[in-house]
Amino acid sequence: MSPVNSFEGAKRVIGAGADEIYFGVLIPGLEWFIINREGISCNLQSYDELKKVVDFAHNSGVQVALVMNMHFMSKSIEQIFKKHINQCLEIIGSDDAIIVGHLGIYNMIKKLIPDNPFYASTLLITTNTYSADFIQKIGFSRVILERQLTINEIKDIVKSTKLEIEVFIHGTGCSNLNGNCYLLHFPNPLLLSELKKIDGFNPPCRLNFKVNNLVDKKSLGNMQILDAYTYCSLCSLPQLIQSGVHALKIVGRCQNFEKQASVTKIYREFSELIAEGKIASYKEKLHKFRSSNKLFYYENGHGLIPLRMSPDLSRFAEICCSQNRCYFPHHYDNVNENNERR
Amino acid sequence: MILLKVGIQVENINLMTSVLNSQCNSIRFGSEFCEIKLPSLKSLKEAYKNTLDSGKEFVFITPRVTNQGLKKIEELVLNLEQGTRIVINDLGILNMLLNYDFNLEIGRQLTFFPASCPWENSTFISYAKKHHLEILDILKESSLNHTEYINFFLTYGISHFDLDLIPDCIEVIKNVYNKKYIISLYVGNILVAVTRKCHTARLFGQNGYECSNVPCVESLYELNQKNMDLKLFLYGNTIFRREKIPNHIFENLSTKNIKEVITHAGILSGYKYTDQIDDFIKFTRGI
Repeated sequence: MSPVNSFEGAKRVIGAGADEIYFGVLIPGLEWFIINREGISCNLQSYDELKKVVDFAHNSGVQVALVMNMHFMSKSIEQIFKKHINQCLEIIGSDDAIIVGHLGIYNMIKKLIPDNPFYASTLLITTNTYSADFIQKIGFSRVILERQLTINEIKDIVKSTKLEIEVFIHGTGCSNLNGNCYLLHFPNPLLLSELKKIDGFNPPCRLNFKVNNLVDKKSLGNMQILDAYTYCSLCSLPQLIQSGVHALKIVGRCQNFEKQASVTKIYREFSELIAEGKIASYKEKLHKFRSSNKLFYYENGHGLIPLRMSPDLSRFAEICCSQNRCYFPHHYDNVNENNERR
Repeated sequence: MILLKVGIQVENINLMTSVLNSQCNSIRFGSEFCEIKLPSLKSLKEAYKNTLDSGKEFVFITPRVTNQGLKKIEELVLNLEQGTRIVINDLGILNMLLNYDFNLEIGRQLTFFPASCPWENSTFISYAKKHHLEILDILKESSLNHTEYINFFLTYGISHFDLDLIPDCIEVIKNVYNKKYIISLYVGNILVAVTRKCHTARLFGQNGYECSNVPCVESLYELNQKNMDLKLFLYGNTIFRREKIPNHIFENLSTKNIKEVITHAGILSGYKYTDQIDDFIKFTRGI
């Protein structure tokens, strides 16, 4: 499941091997309402662009998921939002999914289109089997699990429900639960101008904070106390695929389409090797990638450009390939492909 | 005059005596944010019995959980009488407790409140100047201002919701007087972010999702970011911010749908002793 924020991006990402694409559309009248930490560039810009993307995806046999995962709604903006939903519904098909992260919005849209598949956004923070069961009971067909789960926890949820399970495999993230984070969802203009753009994501979690212990009144100095990095799960792909999850989600609606396509291509290549049972080839390819320090390069017409996954590229492999930078750190910590301790 | 009820949230059983001896109406016992900090069965039974013996209402507060935490909660609730108020912050716990006859309340983690953002004012004042002034009022609203959201939970018989007390937003909250639901307001520490991969545990050198023997209930950190004019507070796996609460704010709250105010006992609020808790209660009553 790959992110898209433009028609050009949709063509590239589908060309790179995405089975499904997801995207949002700018809401006329609510452009100022940056509720989901997204700048305008993270969404398709118009209903015309939506139509082009949907038609192209359908003709390519690719499934589409429309993101409507604002997780705030109030009576004051309801009418604008309803108008937007109706505009989108005239364009998308009855098989196209809607991603929702707010139970009130879900209720609202479900009344308008009861038959389309609904996906429960990670903003609904599903972390256990009873949550997944509840999500299914109320009518969702898929749930995008919260990021902070181990592979074993994901397996338990997959086993316990008929819901399709989607998990994050690559992108930006941090330790804070997405659906409860008020740092993430409101980009501060001061922040945007002061912080360097790193992978198009500017969370305040990357800042240094001066930390004081209020109990013993000691200062712990300046530190990046709240972590926020780009994550990867290439090493965990075999376990994820074997766990029975239905979809692997790449984060990056706010990134440029070269990055979106490049990451899609890499995960497509690796997951095909695994699906074909070519584990030895998968391991060899993974080893080459990691040791070459060229993980996630993308082509922009001028050759290979490295994705900036950290400010210091020379430490890329060290920074990315460490327990704290894996989406599944338990896997990283000396666990073999059977999920057994080495 | 109807007085606002006052609830005191306790996560540390050692503070129970101070709270039991106070004038509070209810005691919220449990863990709001961390499944590792869920009380033992022994602590729960002790807190439950002592609270009821003192004539106060016992409220069990629960966090977001994995399957491990779910199992623990399932065992704990069996020791509570049906009708006990339970605060839920996880849809899985909601699902599980629908099989029982408890009095369910939606915790603040299940209600989105944009004004909780630490820089809400600086972000949107500039936007409001360019666009419409109404924007500021919209951002004072919460999910509770959305009828469909309320109706969703009403279908499960739930009509009690928790929210943070953010002074700028109080008029908006009061004006959504709706006979359908009631609100409990948390005073003093506004929720900003929660994590499973605990920031405090990391300060003690523990990575990942496990933590052992980290004295988080007795640790509180101030996080200062001078360039952003930002001050946050780290307590266990949760980040808060604070706002000054003017004492007139509690006037007439109980005539609307706000029935209760809540604060913490312990290091987060600074209220460790009975007289401190009673002073807070007097503050909410304008005494």
